[in-house]
Amino acid sequence: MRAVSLSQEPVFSLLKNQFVCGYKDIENKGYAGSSRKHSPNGQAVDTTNGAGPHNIQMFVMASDGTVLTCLPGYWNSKDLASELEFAKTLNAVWVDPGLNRDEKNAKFSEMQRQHLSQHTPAERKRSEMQHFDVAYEKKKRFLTSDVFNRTVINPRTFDPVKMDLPPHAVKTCDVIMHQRMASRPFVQYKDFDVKAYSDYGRPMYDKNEEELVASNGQTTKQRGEGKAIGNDPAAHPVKTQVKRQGKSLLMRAAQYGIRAAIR
Amino acid sequence: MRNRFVARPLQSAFLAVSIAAGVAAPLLHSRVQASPVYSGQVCSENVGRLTNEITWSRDLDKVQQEAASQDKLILWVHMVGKLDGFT
Repeated sequence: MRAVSLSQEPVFSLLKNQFVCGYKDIENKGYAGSSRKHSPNGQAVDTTNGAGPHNIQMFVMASDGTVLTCLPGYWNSKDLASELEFAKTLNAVWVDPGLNRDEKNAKFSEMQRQHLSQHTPAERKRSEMQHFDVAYEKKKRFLTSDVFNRTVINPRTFDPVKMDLPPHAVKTCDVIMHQRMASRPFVQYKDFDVKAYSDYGRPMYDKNEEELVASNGQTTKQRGEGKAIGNDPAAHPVKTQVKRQGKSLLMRAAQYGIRAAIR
Repeated sequence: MRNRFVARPLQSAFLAVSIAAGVAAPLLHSRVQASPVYSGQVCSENVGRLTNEITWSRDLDKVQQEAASQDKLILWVHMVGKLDGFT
């Protein structure tokens, strides 16, 4: 993200001139996903919009901390720029003194849905969900997930064993994003349910970038790359184990230590 | 008549090259568009530009104050890792 779309035009100039930027490392947050470690001078790829939603969430907020939009995962520079511009129009609604809160909320939701009609077929194509994320959704929560467009799935002909879905049965990530945002009008950042919002697909995301051949014919692999980062047992085994099993693990370790000392 | 025979091999070769180029170019183009790989050097330069030319704060309160005083919006990125380090 940092080496591709954030640092490329038209996003770079937009950020530099019209936004105040900041970031937060979510490595130890419960909602964070994981990936293999990548250094700033490792290789990168331009992937699909919305890929890796557990690992990156880009919030566009008003200066009072009101969330105007949130883009989960990677986003193509051109498409990201369009969403940044869209956020400005949402902010105009938020600060409009002529509208009450209900009117603002209704307008927010309507604008989120309307914006989808402005997405080009090319953007839709760039927003197709990664096949491993689709497989994860099918396997883990087919009946409850909002990533499936149920209007095109015929329950009479659908085979739940084969799980062959008709075309357009999986929503593109841009649709998921705007639909989820539409139900979260002008929420304060501190109240934003990041976990639910950014949850689709596999928690682990990696494109094996450093193993691909770059346009200059070379590949880069830095020291430390390949190891996991984020919520993955390989990234920080003790921490993750404690998260899963609670303090009992630490208690057991302490008891074992005391017993060993007595002996 | 003789000139026409001489010209034909050249025409055929030109036609073959044109067809090959016409078929190959869109394929190559679509492959590049599908998943271009940015080399480590390009990524390093891009990350350097991003972190040197734009101030990235890790203090949201400060970011909000700045945004209010400059009448700007905020881009606040959640990421696994550090902007200028491992991600």
